[in-house]
Amino acid sequence: MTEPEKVEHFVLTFFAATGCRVQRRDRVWIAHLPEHMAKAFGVDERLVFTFQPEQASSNVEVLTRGHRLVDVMVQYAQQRGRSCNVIYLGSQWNEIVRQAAASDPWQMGYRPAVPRLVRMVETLRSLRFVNARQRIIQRRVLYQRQALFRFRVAFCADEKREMLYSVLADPSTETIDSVVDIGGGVAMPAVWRGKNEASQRVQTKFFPTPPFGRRKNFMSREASWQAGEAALRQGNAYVWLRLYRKACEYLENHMLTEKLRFEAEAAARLAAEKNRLDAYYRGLAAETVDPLRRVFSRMAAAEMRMGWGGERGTWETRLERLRAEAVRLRHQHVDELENLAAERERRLEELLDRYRVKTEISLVQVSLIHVPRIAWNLRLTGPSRREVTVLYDIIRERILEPLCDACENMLTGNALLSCCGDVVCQSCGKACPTCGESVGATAPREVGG
Amino acid sequence: MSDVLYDLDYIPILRALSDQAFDTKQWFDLGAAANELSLTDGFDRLLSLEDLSIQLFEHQRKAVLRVLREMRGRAVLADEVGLGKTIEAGVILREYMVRGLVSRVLILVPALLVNQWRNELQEKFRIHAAVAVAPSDWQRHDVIVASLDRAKRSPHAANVLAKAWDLVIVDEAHHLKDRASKNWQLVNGLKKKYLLLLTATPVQNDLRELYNLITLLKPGHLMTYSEFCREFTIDRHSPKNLKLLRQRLDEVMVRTSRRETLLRFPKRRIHSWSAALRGAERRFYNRLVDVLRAAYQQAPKRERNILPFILILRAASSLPQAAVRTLHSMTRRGTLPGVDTEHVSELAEMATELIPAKFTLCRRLLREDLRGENVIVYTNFRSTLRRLGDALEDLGKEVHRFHGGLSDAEKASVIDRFRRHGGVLISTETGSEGMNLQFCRCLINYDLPWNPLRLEQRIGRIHRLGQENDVRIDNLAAEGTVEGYILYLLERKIAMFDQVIGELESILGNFAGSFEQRVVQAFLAADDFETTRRHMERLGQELKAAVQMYGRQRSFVQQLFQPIDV
Repeated sequence: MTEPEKVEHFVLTFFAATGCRVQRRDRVWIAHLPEHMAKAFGVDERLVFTFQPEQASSNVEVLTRGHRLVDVMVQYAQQRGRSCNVIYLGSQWNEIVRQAAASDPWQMGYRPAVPRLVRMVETLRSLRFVNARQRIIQRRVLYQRQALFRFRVAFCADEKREMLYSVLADPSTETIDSVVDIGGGVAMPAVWRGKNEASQRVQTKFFPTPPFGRRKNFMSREASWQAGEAALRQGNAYVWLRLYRKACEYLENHMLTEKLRFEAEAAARLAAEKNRLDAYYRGLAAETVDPLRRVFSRMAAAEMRMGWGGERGTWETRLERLRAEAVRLRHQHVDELENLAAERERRLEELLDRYRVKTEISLVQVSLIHVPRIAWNLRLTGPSRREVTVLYDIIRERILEPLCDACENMLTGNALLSCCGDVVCQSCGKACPTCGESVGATAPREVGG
Repeated sequence: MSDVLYDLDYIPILRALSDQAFDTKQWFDLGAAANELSLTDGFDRLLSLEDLSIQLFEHQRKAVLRVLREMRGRAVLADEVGLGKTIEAGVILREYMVRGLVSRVLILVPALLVNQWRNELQEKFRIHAAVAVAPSDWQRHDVIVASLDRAKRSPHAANVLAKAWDLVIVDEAHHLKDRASKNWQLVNGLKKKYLLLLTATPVQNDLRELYNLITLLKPGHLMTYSEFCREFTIDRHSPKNLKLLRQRLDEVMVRTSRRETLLRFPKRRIHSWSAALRGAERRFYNRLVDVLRAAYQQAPKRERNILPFILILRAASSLPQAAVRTLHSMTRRGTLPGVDTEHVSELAEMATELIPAKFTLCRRLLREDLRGENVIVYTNFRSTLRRLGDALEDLGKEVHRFHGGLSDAEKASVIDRFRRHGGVLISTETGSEGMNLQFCRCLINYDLPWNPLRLEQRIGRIHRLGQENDVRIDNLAAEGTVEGYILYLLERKIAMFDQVIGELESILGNFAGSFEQRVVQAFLAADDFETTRRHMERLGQELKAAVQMYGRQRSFVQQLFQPIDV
C-alpha cells in the first residue's frame, strides 16, 4: 500500500465506523459528519477532501499524515480500539475446521481437496507409532485462548525511531507462540461491553485532542511491574499481568537487533562529536603552555646574555623577574588546565546526555484470540494399551500434542509405546522411562481406526 | 547499555482484558492502522506542520528539516531578515516536543521581544510558555521565555545555570558575539542538549564574532581560535580559505537569502500627515511642555526619571484630556516633583472642550481617502479609543473596539466580526502583537508608538507574507510635538519605511540607548524651538551612523556568505 492509500483506507474506515455519510465524486470525497463529531474534531460538518495532493484546491483539502483531522482521527482510534476478542469463525474457517474435525487423517484413502487440509494430513502422518496399532476413539474441535500483545517501541537518543511489535502468548502454557494474522477472525462478542455504563460513555464519547497527545508515564520494567501488581491484584487480572510480563521479556530479546543497530548509530555519532571535543581541548591545553614557553625562551636569552658578561647586574635582575613571572604563569597554567578539564567534562556530559539511548515500550493493543485446534483421541495397542490425544493447530499448521513422556519434547517422526504405557520418541526409546526395559519396534503398525 | 522504560498505560488495557471490556474488531483494526500511521522514523516528516495554523514556505521547511536531520538540533538560523527565523525555530521546537525529545525549553530574547515570543508560541504553535520574572520561575516552569539581560543577572543566573535544559533558543544571537561578555558566558555555561541561535547577522565586521558564536554551538568545530586565525583569517576583518570556511559554516548554519526564496512581499505605501496645532490646542501643548521642561531641568541629573515625562507627552499627543488626567494622578502621588496642583488646574482648564487636530484629520481620512476600505486604527490610550470610536460611529462606520480590557473570547469575537463585516477596528497596543490581520490592507497610526520596533510590529499585522495587496499606512503626528520629531527621525534619518522587515532591529542595535528615551531627553533638555531642532539633528546624525554601520555589517556578511546563497 502506498502512503496515500494507507491514509485513504484509514480515513474511510474511520468514517464508516463512526456512521458518517461519505460520497465520492470523481476523485473528491464529501463527508457529512455528525454535529458532535465535527465539533470535537474542530472541522465543518460537511468536508470536501481528497487523498491526492494534485487534486487539492482552495475548497478541497488533502488529507495526509500530519493533517490536523487525520491526527485527531489517529489519536481517537488509538484510544478507542485497544482491546478486542477474536475468534476464527466465518464461512471460510467454519468449513475448514468442520472438515478437519470430521477427517481421519491417518486413513490412507483420505485425500482432502483444500490445501490447508492436505498439509495437515502430511504433518499428522509424519507422526508414526511404529510398535502399536492406533484407533481414533474421539474427535473434537477446541477453541483455545491466546493473547496478542501489540507494543509500540520507541528508540530515543538525539532522534527517535518507532516501531510496532506483536507478541502472542499462550495463557495455558505461559509460552510465546508465533503470531497469527487475525485478519480472518471475527470479534467475539461483537458489541462493546464495558464494565459499567459510565465507562462505556467515556469510551464512546469523542474527546477533544490534547495538544500533544497523552502524556506518557515511563518507568523501569521492575517499577512498572510493581505498579501493575498493585493495580491488578483483583480477579483474574493477575493472569494477564503474568502473561504481559512474559511478553515483555520475549519482546526485549526480540527487538535486540534493532536496538543494537540504533545504539550503534548513536554511538558512532557520539564518537565523532567526542573526537571533535577531544581535539579542541587538546589544542586549547597545548595553547595554554605558550606564555610559559615564551618566558622560558626569554629566560634562556637572559642567561646567555649574562654569560657573555657586560652589565651582569641588570641581567640578573631581569632574570629574577622572569623567574617570578614563570612561577606565576605556571600556576596560571595549572589553573587553566583545571578549568579546561572541568569544561571538557561538562561538555562531555552534555554530549552523553544527548546521545544516551532510551528504549520506551508501550502496550498499545491487546487481543484475545480463540484459536481453533483439532483433537483426535487415539487408542494405542502394542506392548501395552494407552490412549493419547493428538492436538493439531490448524491456523499455524503444527502438532501441539502428544509430548514424549521421557524428554517432554514434541513427538515427531517415529514414536514408540513402551511396555508400561509410556509414549516416547525414538531417541528416548532405548529404555522404558518407567521400568527401564528395552522398547523395540516389535508390534505391527496399524493405521486408521 | 541503554535504559528500557515501560509505559504504565498497560494497566487499563490489561484491566479491560480481565473485565472482558472489548471493543469491536473494526475499532481494533482501526486502532492498529492508527498506530501504524503514527509511527515516526527519525525526522522523516514534520509531524506538527499541518496541525498548526501556519504554513511553512519551502525555504523554511528545508531549513527545519536540515536542522533536525543533519545538524541534529544545534544550529545557527541565519536567514536574512524577514524570512521567518522565529517560525523555523518554533517548528523545530514543536517537532522535538511532539516526539518527546524535549520538555525543558529556555528561550532567551531581547527584553522587547519577550511578550512577542510568548504570544507567538501560544498562538502559532500552541505551546504555553511562561515568562520568567521571579528567581523561582526558572525551576517552576518547563517552557520559559526570558530576556537575556534578566537571565544573566544575579540571582537569576544561578537558577538558570542550575537547571538542565533540553533546548535553548537564543534570538538575536549576535548579542553573544563577545566571548568575554556575560551573555556569552551564560549561554556557554548552560546545560543543554540542543541549541538554536537566531541571527540575521552572525558576523558584523569581525570574524572573531563568528568564531565565538560557532564555538558556543559546537566547540572545536572551527578548531581553537589560534588555529582558526591561522587557517581562515588574514586579519580579523578579512577571511581567507573561504571555500573551506563556508563548507564548515554550512555544517552548522542555515542561511537563506531573499533572492533564493523568490517570495513576493507586498509594497508599503506610506502617507505621513502632520496635523498643525492651532489656537487653544497649541497654547495647551506649549504650556504643558514648559511645565514639564521646567520640572525636568530643575531635577538633579542623577535623580531624573524620564518615564513619567514620556507617559505624559505621549498622552498629550493623543488626547489633551488624557494628559491632564495622567498629570493629575502623578502629581497626587508625587511621581513628578516640580509640577504642582496649580499647574494641573491651569492645564485642566485649558484642555476642557479641546478637540485634537489629529481627530479631525483622522475623520477626514476615513471619510475621503479611505472611504470603502476596512481600516485598522491604532492608538496608545483606551480613552482615545473610546472618544475616537464614538466620533467615527457618527460618520456611519461600523466600529470594532479592541483593547486589553477584553477577555480572550471577546477579543477573538471582535476580530471575527471585523473580518466578516469590515469597517474600522480601533485598537490599543494590545492588538499590535501576534494577530494576523492580512485580510485588511489599510492602517492608520493615530498615535505613533514611540518605540520604532512596536511600529514595525503594528505594520507587521497587515504587511506580511500572505498579504495579497499592497498595504497603505497612514501616520498621523501633531506638528512640533515629540511625536512629530519621532516621525521626522524615523522617516528622514532611518528611512524606516523603506527598510526591509526586520532590518530596523539591527539598525537600532547600533544606536546607543533607548530610542524613545533619547528623543524625549533631547526634547526636554532644550529650552526653545531652535535648540530642540539642533538636538534632534544631532540624534539624526547618530541614527544615520547606525544605518551606515548596518550597511557595512550587511555587506560583510554578504561577502562571507554570498557564494553559498548562489
